[in-house]
Amino acid sequence: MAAENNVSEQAGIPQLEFSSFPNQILWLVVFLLAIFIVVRMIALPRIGQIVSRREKRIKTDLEDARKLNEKIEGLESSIEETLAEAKRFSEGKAVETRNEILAMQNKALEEAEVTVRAEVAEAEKRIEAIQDEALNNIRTIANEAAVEIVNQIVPKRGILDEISGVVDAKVQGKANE
Amino acid sequence: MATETEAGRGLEIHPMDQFLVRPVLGDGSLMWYSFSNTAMWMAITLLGIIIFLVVGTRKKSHVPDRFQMVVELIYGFVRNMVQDVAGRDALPYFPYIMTAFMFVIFSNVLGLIPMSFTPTSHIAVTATLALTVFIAVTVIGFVKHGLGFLGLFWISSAPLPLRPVLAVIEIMSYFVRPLSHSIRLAGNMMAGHAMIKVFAAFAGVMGFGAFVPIIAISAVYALELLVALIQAYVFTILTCVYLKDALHPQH
Repeated sequence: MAAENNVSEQAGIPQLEFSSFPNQILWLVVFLLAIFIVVRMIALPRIGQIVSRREKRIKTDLEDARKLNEKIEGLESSIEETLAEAKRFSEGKAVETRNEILAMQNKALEEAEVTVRAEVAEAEKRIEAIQDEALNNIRTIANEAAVEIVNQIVPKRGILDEISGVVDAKVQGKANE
Repeated sequence: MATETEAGRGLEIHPMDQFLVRPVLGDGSLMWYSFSNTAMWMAITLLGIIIFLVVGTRKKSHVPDRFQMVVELIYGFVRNMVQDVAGRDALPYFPYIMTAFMFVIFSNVLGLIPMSFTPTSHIAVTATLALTVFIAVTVIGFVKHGLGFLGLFWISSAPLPLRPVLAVIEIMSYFVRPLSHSIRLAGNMMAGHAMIKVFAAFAGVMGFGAFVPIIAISAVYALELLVALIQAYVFTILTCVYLKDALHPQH
């Protein structure tokens, strides 16, 4: 196999120089084997380990994220439930307070109405009394005026009582109208 | 390396000289065990792969830096390719497929460095890789399925009279696989490099007009980078397809 070739700048295709084949094949086998050992023993286990560890980490992280998400969803529903309960409570409280206010308002209105009615009745009584007093005053003034007039015209005793009765009746009638 | 001389104003280009296999050490004679330029660039490829895969993942971080991210991207890319094309039961063979992919892509890309050498431009290298796949796939097929592996050549969905004819075509196609598998990669690598060398020789003699071939070299170089990556992908995906045939030979 000791193929010897005096290499020189020669014409032709070097790829078809069969005497160089053993040399090339020998070194190809040697270096291909070396590359195979590097790839098989060092590179592929290392890269495989990196990739599988990363996949495991990603899987764990995704699982953790899923659990956290579930926890968050639980918390969210709990918060929503609490909020709904608080809303219901506040709405109930609002209705209750409104009813209380309405009741207080009605009571205050009724009390005010009673007070007003009493005051109105009292005022009416006072007005009536004043009216009566005014009527009496008018009757007295009218009697006196009529008697004075009649006295000036006819100075007779008996007719004065008659005039007084007529005036009273008239005044009474006007007052009743 | 190519030499361009202007003997009598004539242009002499040797674009294929860059592919010569020479000993790095010694008196110039290449023995089967000589440490050649092929060996040196394969060693550099090994070093590059170690730096990329081992140093790139030294931090083993959960949140990867840019370097580790690229390594993991390549790992995921090749692993998914094996799984998607050949199925989950092909994953035990993933380390070798990853090895082949890393070797081819690093050799292809490192070969684009000026004055470097591309081991994958040599049919001896690519044929060895392709034959390794071919033999391994055939052995796996027979070990897993016995004579049932021959069902790969018997297209049961085809009309019965056509099946023997198709079987012959399938058998021929099967045995041509290592040839196409290896020549595709070596041919692509060789053609681009030779073209760049030819344009470079033009640039050397064109004086101020050299900008035209330099622009062409830049364009071809970008294309070559793409070809280097695509050919590594094609080589690997074909390996997966052949492996799938071995694991699931039924049509």
